[in-house]
Amino acid sequence: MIIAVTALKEKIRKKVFYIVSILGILILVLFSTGTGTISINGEEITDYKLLSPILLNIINAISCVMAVVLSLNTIPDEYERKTSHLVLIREVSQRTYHAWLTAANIMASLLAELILFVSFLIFMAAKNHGGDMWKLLPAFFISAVGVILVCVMTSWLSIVLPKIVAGTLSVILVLAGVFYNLLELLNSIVGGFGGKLLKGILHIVPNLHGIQGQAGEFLVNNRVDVHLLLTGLLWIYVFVIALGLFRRKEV
Amino acid sequence: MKKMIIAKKIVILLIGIVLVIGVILTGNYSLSAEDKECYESAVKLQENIDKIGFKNFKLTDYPIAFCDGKHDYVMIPSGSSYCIQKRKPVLDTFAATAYEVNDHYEVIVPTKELMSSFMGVAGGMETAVAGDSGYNQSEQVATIWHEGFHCWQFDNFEDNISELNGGHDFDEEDYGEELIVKECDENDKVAALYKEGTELLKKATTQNDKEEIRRLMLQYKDIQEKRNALLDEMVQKLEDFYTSVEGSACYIEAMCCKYLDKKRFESYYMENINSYIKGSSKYYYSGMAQCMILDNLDSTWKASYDFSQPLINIIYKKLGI
Repeated sequence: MIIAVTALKEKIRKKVFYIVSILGILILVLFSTGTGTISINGEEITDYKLLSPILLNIINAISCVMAVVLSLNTIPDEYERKTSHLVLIREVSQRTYHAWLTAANIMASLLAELILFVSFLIFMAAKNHGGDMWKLLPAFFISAVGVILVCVMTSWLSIVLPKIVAGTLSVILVLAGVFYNLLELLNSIVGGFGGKLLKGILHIVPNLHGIQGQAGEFLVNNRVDVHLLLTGLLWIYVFVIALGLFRRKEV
Repeated sequence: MKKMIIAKKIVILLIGIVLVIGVILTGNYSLSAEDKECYESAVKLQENIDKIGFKNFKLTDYPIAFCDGKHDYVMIPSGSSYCIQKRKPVLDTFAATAYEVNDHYEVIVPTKELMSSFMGVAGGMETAVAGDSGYNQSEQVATIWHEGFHCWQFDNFEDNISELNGGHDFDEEDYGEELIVKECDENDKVAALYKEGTELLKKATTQNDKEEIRRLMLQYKDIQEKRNALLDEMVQKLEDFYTSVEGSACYIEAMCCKYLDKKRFESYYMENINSYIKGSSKYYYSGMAQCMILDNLDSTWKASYDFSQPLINIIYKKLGI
């Protein structure tokens, strides 16, 4: 537990944490005040039912990128700074050590997401949907599935791969996951080898767009796709198991 | 201690099993409820379409296949209900089309979800990121009717259509698209005359006074003659094909939209008549406008129209010009 708390404190002190949070809040405030707009087919979208899932998608995308940034260095840095020696000699298993560090990554990322969700309240109030504020809590938990997934995935990659490779791969997987719907569309358009390759890629990329999109669906009273959420939880399960199975060599 | 470890492992394994079962049980292995609703809504419109008056045009005469990229879900009418057959996609690309499958025509449309994603991408980066194009059920239903109309056209008038098109094979994709852009869109004078003509067509769609329509169509004919003098015969034939075949299908599509979403009918279809769109799409709307003008002259024209001549010739004939 102490390992996780110490790592979490360190994460919160990072500048990137505040920069991204402020950026996210700024986006939401702009939309709440009507300064920022989104157009679809040239028509400005102002309707709450249309705009709120779009804004939640933006929050989710920012949260996922934050999760990569906050999770990538935690474990490798511990080994580089030899902090790991101090912990591992105290009969803490590497598995437990990695688990607590990953927990710290998850907590920091969820905290960042929570800040963005709280600022979403401003948007809801501005759009006269204050009565729906309670829905934001379940929406947060739905969205958290995607964030936790990115955290455990990046943490695992940072154990098994060099930092730069793990970072690049995590960003690619997160971007592919956030734009999963576009990849699916491309898959249906492209035939031949390209189509088969895309189909393969779609199997190894978590559908972050679908998983986190359910938060928006819930918010506007649409049906929530339980299958997508369970798939997200299964991905988390697989990466947690992988975290326990793979070891990192002491430097 | 050992027992504790085993118990822990069993719990972890059980969680995994529960999750796998959950994923399998909640998976959608058939057509989505939304697509089924689209199909049902499309079939329900038959009564309204019957009133339009194209003889023996029944949507349920043609199987309708929804393609999700992995499978085609073919809706086969069975009595007052329908059954769904799953098969490998017959098209290896994204398309809403009327397609010949085993000696019969079928409507093939991407699923509503796929169409929505496509429209999102087509709508630009903002909609792509948002993942919401605003593409709704009534648009999907209208698309189904558009393609259903093509099935009926090809099924009944294939020879006439082929002749109208100068003998072009329908299977060749994008035929003429480049030609239209090069000869019509990139020639400023031809494009300006087209735009001028569509302004007149739009005015005529809202007229019930035959004399006023006659006056507008005389001006239109004059513009068309000037325009045709700048185009070679092949391009003219191609325009006739798009205007009459696609235009009438677009007319059916617009009528569906009028029944389901009148606001969109006004803001989209009526507005597109005189908006210049590069490529062949613009003819869809000018053809639709010509169908509407014919309705203003004589709503029974559809009972005898066989696609052997361009729609505009029927208008000229009815007006004696």
